[in-house]
Amino acid sequence: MALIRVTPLKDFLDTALSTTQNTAAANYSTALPNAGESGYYLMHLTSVGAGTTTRLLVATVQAASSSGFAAITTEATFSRTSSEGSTWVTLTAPSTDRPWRRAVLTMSTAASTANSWKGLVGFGFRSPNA
Amino acid sequence: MATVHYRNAKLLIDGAHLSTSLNELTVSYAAEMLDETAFGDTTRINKGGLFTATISGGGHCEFEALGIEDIIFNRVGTDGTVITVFPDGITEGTQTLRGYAMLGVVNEFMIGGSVGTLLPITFSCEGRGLSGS
Repeated sequence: MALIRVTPLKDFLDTALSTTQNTAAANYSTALPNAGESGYYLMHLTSVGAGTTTRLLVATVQAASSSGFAAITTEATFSRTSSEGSTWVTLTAPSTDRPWRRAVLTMSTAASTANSWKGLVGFGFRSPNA
Repeated sequence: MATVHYRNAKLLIDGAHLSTSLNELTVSYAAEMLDETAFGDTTRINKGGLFTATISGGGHCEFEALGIEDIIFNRVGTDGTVITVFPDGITEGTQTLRGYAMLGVVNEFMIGGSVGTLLPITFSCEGRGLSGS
């Protein structure tokens, strides 16, 4: 498989991120993976300002069966945390019965001045053989 | 059905957002055709083969650090570059106006043109499968 269609979960390319936040939970019931499809998750970090406390950005994509995210499955954790670049995560068997998904963007350490992060988090499903 | 006025495409390559340097952007997704025709057939019989993906574009060359020349030139031949395109802006959470992404390799970098023009830059990236870097 060569190409996926991407649903953007968080666009912070223009409006920089400076605090920990969860994106609004959304029900992706029409975009659930079919049996046999893999999950592909990507993050581009286009600008990194770690701030005075040298913060790290730990970004994950979570799935749940309801909007409250009472029982969470973390489908992807992005390894890039402190420099510009990109991360690609492949999950062989993403949840087919948890349609609620969100991105969780966590800033490490204490609040900092001058920390500012820009980028994008997205995901898509596709058969590895399609 | 709503048509799209193609004026707000987005391109991300690795850690760079290059949209403002571009004026052309194309996504191509295809499957190779394998000729399965045999004697006695009256019609060419094609069989779907391997998938291919290409993202190519062009625009105005800029030489700053992390500008389009810097980003494209330094990634020629680098395996597993994350390349993402959105054809009409980015709408968080959309399940209809999605973009396209691949792990690719920049296989072509070209600059140059006619005297008196804005220096053009063109590039092409080929997909290399999605399961690894």
